[in-house]
Amino acid sequence: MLADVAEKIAPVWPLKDYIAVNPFAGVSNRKFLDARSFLKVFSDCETLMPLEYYAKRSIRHDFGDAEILSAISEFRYTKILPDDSLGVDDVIATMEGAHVADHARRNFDVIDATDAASSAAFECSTNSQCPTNSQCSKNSQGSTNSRRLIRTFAETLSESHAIDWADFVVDEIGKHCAAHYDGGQAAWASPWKDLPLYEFWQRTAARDRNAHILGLTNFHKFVADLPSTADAAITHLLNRLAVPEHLAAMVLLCQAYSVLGWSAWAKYQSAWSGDPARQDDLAGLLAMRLAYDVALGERFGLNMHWSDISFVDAAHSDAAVDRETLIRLVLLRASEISLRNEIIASLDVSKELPTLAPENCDKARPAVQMVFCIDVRSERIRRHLETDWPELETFGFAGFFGMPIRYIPVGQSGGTASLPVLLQPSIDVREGLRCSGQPPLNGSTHALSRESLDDGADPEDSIIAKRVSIRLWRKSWKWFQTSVVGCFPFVESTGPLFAWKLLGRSLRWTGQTSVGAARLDGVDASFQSRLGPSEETLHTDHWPVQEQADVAEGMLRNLGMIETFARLVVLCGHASQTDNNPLAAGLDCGACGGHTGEPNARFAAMLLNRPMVRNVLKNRGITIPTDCVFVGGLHNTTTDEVSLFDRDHIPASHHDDVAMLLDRARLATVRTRAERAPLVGTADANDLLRRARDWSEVQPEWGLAGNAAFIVAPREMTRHSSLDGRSFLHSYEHKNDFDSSVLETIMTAPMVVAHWINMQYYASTVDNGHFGSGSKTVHNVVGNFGILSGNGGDLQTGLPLQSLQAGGEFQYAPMRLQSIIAAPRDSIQRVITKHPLLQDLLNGQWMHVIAIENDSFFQYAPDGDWVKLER
Amino acid sequence: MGLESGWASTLVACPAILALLLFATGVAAFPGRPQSERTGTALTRRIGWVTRLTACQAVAALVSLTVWAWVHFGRLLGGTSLPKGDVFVEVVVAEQSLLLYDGVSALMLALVSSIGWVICRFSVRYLHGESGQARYFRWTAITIAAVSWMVIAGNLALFVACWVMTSIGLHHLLLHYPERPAARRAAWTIFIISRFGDVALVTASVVLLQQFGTLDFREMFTLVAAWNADTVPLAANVSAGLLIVGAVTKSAQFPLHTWLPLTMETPTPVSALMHAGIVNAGGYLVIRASPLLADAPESLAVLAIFGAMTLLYAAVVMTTQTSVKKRLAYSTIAQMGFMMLQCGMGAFSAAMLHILAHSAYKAHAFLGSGDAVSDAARMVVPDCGRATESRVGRLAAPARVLVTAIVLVAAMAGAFVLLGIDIASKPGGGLLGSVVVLGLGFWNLHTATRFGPVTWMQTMTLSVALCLVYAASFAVVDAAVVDGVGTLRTTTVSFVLSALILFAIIVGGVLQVTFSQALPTPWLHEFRIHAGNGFYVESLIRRLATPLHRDRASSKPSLAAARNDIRNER
Repeated sequence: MLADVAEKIAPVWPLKDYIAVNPFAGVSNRKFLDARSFLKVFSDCETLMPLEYYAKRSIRHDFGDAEILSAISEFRYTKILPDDSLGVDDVIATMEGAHVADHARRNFDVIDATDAASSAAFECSTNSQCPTNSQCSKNSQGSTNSRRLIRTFAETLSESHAIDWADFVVDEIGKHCAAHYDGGQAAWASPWKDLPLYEFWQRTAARDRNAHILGLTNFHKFVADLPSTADAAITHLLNRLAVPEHLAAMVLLCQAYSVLGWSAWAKYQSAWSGDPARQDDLAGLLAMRLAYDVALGERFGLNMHWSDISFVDAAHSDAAVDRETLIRLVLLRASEISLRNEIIASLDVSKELPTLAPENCDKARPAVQMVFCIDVRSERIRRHLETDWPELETFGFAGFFGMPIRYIPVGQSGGTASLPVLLQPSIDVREGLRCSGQPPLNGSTHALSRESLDDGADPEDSIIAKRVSIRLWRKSWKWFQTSVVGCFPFVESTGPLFAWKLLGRSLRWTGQTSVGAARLDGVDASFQSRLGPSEETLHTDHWPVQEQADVAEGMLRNLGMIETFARLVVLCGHASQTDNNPLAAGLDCGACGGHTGEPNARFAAMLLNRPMVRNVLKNRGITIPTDCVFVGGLHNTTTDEVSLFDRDHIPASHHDDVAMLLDRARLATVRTRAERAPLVGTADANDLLRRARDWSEVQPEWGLAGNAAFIVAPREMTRHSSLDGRSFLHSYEHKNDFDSSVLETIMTAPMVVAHWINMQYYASTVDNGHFGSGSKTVHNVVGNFGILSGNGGDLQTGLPLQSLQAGGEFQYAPMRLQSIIAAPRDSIQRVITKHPLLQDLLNGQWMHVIAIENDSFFQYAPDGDWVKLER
Repeated sequence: MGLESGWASTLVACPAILALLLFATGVAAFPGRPQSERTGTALTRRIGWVTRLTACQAVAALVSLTVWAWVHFGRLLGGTSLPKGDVFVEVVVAEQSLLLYDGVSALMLALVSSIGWVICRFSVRYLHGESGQARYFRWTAITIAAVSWMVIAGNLALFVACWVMTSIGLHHLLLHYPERPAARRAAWTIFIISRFGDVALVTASVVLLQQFGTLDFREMFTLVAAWNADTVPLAANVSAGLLIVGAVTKSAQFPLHTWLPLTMETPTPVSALMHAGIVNAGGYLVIRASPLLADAPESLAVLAIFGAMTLLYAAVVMTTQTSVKKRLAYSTIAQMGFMMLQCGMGAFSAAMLHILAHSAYKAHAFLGSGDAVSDAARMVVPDCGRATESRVGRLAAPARVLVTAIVLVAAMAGAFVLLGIDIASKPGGGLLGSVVVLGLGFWNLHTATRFGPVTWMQTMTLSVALCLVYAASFAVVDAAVVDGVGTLRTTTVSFVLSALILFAIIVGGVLQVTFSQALPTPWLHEFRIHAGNGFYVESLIRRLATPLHRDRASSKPSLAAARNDIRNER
C-alpha cells in the first residue's frame, strides 16, 4: 500500500541540481482526464486552464473555429466525446459566456480598490493571488470540487476555527522537515539529523510545545506514545481512524497531497538520494501528517463516516466528466492543433523524398559542424548560425553528449552526476588542469604526464591548498557573522564594507554570478582556462580503450554523425548566467542533471580527439578524418554568447577555422539577442546582458518557456523554418537507423525528458499553487536545498510565476508536448508497443506523436491508430 | 553654533524638498485605482521618476553631509582660531523650528536616502510584471519620504507626525499580498503595537509641551541643559519613560518582536527597507531625544535591560532558524536589542554607529538573500587528503584562550589609545568594548579549534584590524554626533548593570561553544527545540488573541468572500 502511495508522488530535487520533474508522473498511467478525476477525489489539484484563458487566446486568434472543430471530431473519433454531444457553437458560446462574466468581474473589482491585486486573477489563474498551496486548497473548497470525497480533518476544522489548522499542520511539518534536512542555515543544528525522518520527528515533536500552546493540547504526549517506526505508526494511526482497508491508500494520498512539497522532498530522499538511512522518509512524512490529523480529530471530536464514502476507483474514473471540463479539454486540444498545423506547414519534408542509399547522396563537406543540446533555447542560435553561414551544419542532441559522467571537482572525493536522471553515471571524471601546448592530435599518452606543467610543485595541489584556505576562511567568516556574540562586533566593524557592496551591486559594478562563482576558487588566472575534465580518466589503465570507443561510438551513432565530419566539430553545451538567483540551476542544462553542459562537452571532445579511440572507431566503420578536430563549447543562454574551451589544444592548422567560426558566432549572438529582446519586453538587445548580471532581475531569461514540440528529424527539414524557440530539435536520420535502435533511444530518453519539462511548465501554469512556486518576490531559501514562499509552510517545488508570465500575460502557453518524428509509422509503432510507459503517455494523451512518412503526416491516435493529417 | 547663511539653509532644504517631491509623486503618480495598476510604459516611466527622485535625494543628502562634515571637522581640527561647538542648521518657519540638521540627522538622512534609492532601484526589476507594482511604489515613496522628514524634523510634533505616517506606509507595504493570512497577521499585529506607541509619543509630547512650552528640539535641549541633577522634575521622568515606550514599540523589542519574523510574506525589498530603515526609528528617537532622556537614568536602565534581554533571546533563536529570511529577521531583533542596550547605557554615539553599520549590512543581506545556494557552494571545503592540514592548532586549549585574550584586549585597548578615545569617560564604554573583544574572542577560539592554525592566524590578524576599524568608525561618528546627544552620568547602578549584562552575554557565547561541540546533553537538545520555536512567544500571543472556534462566515467581510468565490470558479 505504501509503495502504491509513494508511486503517485513526484520527487523534487535540491536547488543545486534542480531539474525538471513531471508532477503528474505518478498518475500518468491513467488517461489525462481520468487522472484529473482521480486527483480531485483527495485533493484540489487542477489540470486544465480556465475558460477565460482560452477566451482571451481565441480573441487573439491563437486558434479558431476550424481548430475547435478538428478537436471535437478528434475526440469523437477517440470516443472521448460521444457523438453529437457537443458542437463548435456550444464550445464558443460557453467560452464567450465565461469571457463576459469575466468582464463583469473586472468591473466589480474596479469598485473594490482595496484589493486591486485580485483584478489580475482572471488574467492568469495562477496569479500571485494564490501563492501558497494551502491557500489555494483552502480557497477552492466547496462547490468547485464536488468530487472531493476525502478531506483532512485539518482542512475541515479550518472552515470553522479561528486558527487555520490546515496551515498550522503544514507549517509544523515544514518546520520539522527544514530542521531535519537543513544544509547549513542554522548554526545550531539538531543532533538527531542523521536519524530517519520519522524518528527525528518523534524525538523533536515529543518535546516541542508549539501545538500544545496553540490548542492541540498534549500533542507532545500523543507523539511520544506513538509506535517507534514509521510503518508501525501508519498502521496504528489508520486503525485509530478506523479506515477501511480499501480506502487506506486514498486517505494517505489525501494526507500527502495536503503537504505536496514536503512529500515531494521526502520522495526524493527515499527514492533518489541513494542514502539507505533515508529510504523510509516518505513513510515517515505520511506518519507525521497522519499523526497531526488523528490528534486534531481526537481533540475536537471529529469522526469520519467511512461507510458514506462509496468510492470505487475504477467506477469513479468512468464517471461522466462534466461538460465544462470537456469544453476546456476541447479548447486545450484546439490550441495544440493550431500549433501543430503551424509547425507541420513550416517543415520542409521534400528532402525526405529521395530515399536513396546514403553513399549516393554525396554531401559536400561542411566547414564546421556544431552539436547543440536539444533544449528549445538552442533553436534560435542554431538558426542564426546557419542562416549566416550555409557551410555550417548544426545537430541537436541531448546536452550531455552521451557522456554518462560523474564530475568530481578538484580536491573533492565525491562529485555530481552530469547526465539525465533516467541514467546512472558510469564514468568518474575528475576536474583537473589540462597540460597546455601539446596538441592532442599528434600527442600520445605521454602528453598526459604532468611534468611539463611546472618545475616540481604540482599546481593542482597548490589549487587545493589555496581553495581549502579560502573556503575555510569563508566558513569562519560566516560563523563570525552568525554567532551569538560575534554578530554584534561583526556588524559594527564591517558595516562600511556592506555599504560599498550595496553601491557596487546596485550600480552593477560587481556581482556574484552563477557562472563559475565557486569553481575558480584558488585557481590562478593563468590556469583558469585549463581547469576542466582531467585527461587522467582517459588513461587506458583505468579505462580500456575498447570501452572508451564504445562510449564514443554510441554517441556518434545516436547523433547520426557517422559519415561526414567537418574540419571542426564543436560540441556545444549550455549554461545560464544569473545573479542572486536560487533557482539558477533550473535554467541550466536538464540533460546534465541541472548543471552546465561544459564538462560533458569538453570531455566528449577530448575523447573523440584521441587517436587510439579513432583507430578503434575506424575498425567499427566510423572513419574520422585526421584533420577533424573536436572542440568543446558553451552557449550562454542568458546572453547568447558562444565560447570555445581548450583553445590551446587546437592545432595551428585549424586556427583560421576557429577564428572564422567565432566571428560568425558573434554575429549569430547579436541576431539571436535581437530576436529575443522583444520577448522579454525590451527594445534594447543589450538589456539581455544586464539581466545576466543584475541582482534584482527576476526574469533573466525565459528558460524553456517556449516549449511545445519535439521534432526528431534531419536538420534539412527544419533548417528553413523559424520555430520561434518553441521546439526541442533532435537530429535523426531514419535511413541510417536500420534496426530503429536509435529511434528507440530517442523516444525513451530525450523524448521522455522533454515530456517532463513540458509537464513541469504545464502543471506550474495550470495550478501554480500546488505545482509551482508562487512569486519570486517572497521566496525564502530554506536549509540551502529548497524554497519556501514567505514565512514557512510547504516546500515550493515547481516554476515561479515570473518564469511563466509577465504582467498577467503568459509567456508559456500550456500545451502538451507534440512529438513530430521523421520515421515510418511502423518503426514508431514498434517502439511504442515495446514500452508500456510510452503507451501510457500516448494512449492517455499526456503527449502526442506525429509521424512524417514520405511527405505525409500521421497523427498517432490511441491504440496504434494513425490518422493522416491534411497539410 | 547655528549656521544661518542662505547656503546653509539650501544645504538642508535640497534633500528635504526632494523628499517632499517624492511624497507628492508617490501620492500623485500611482493613484490607487486598479485600472491604473496595469503594467505598461506609463507605469515604467513613473517608476523611473520615483527611482530618479530617490537617487537625487540620496546624492543631495550625501553632498549636504559632506559639506556639513567639512565645516564641522574643519572647526574641530582647525585649532583655536574658530570657536568650537556644534555645527547645525535650523530651518525656522513661523518661529517654529521645522528642520534640524546636525550631526545626528545629517548621518541619518544620508543613510535613509541612500537605502531608499537602493530599494527603489532594486524594485524596478524585482517587482516587474507584478499587478501591484504601482501600489508598491506608491507606498514605498511615501514611506521613504516620511522617514526622511522624520529624521530631519526640528520639532517633536513633526517628528511624531512623520513617525505615524511611516507606520501607515509600512502597513500598506506589509499588506502587499493582502490575501496571505500570515501577512495580515503580521501587519495587524504591528499596526496595533504601533498605535500604542503613537499614544505614548503623543502623551509624551503633551507632557513636554506643558513642561517647556515648546516642542522644538533645540529649545528643549537648551532648557534641559540648565537643569542640575537635583532639580529634575517628575514630568521629565514621565516624558522620558513615554518616549522610551514609543521607541520600544517601533524597534521590535522582546516581547513585542513577534511580528517581525512574520513579515516574510511581503516582497524582499520591503524587508530590506524595514530592517535597514524603519525598525531603526525607535533607536533614532532615543538618540534624537537623548538630551531629554539623560536625566532619567531609571528609564534608560529599564531600556538597557529590555535591550539585553532582546539581544540574548534573539541571538540564541537566530542560531536555530533554518530559512535565510527568518534567520535575518531574528538577527535584526538581536541587533535592535543591542542598539537599545547601547542607548540604555547612554552610549548614544555607539548606537548611532550601530544603526549606520547594521542598516548597510541588513539591506545587503536581504536583497542578496537569493545568494544562499551559491554561497553554500562557495563554502564546500575540498575533502581530498592531498592538502588537508591538521585541523587542531598546536596550542592546548587554555593557552589558546590566553593568547587570544591577550592579543585582542591589547588590540582593542591599543586602538582606543591610538585614536585618543578615553573609554572610561564614555558611558557604557567598558561594556561595549568588552562585547567587541568577546565577539572577536569567541570567533578566534572557534576558528582555532575548527579550522586550523592557518585560518586562525588570518582570523587573528583580521581581528586586530577590525578592532582598529571599529575604534576609528566610533571616533568619527562620535565626533560627528557628540554635540547633538545627551550625556548620561555614570552611576553605580549602571556599573552593576554592565557587569550583569556582560555576564549574560558571556553565558550566551559559552552556550554557543557548547552546542558547537554537540555534546550529548539532553537539556540542551530540549532547549534548542524551544529556541527553534522562538520560545513560543508568537504562539502564546496568537493563542491568547484568538478564540479556538469562530464562525468564519459571519466575521469575514462579504466582499472578501465574494472575491474568494471568483477565484474558486476558475
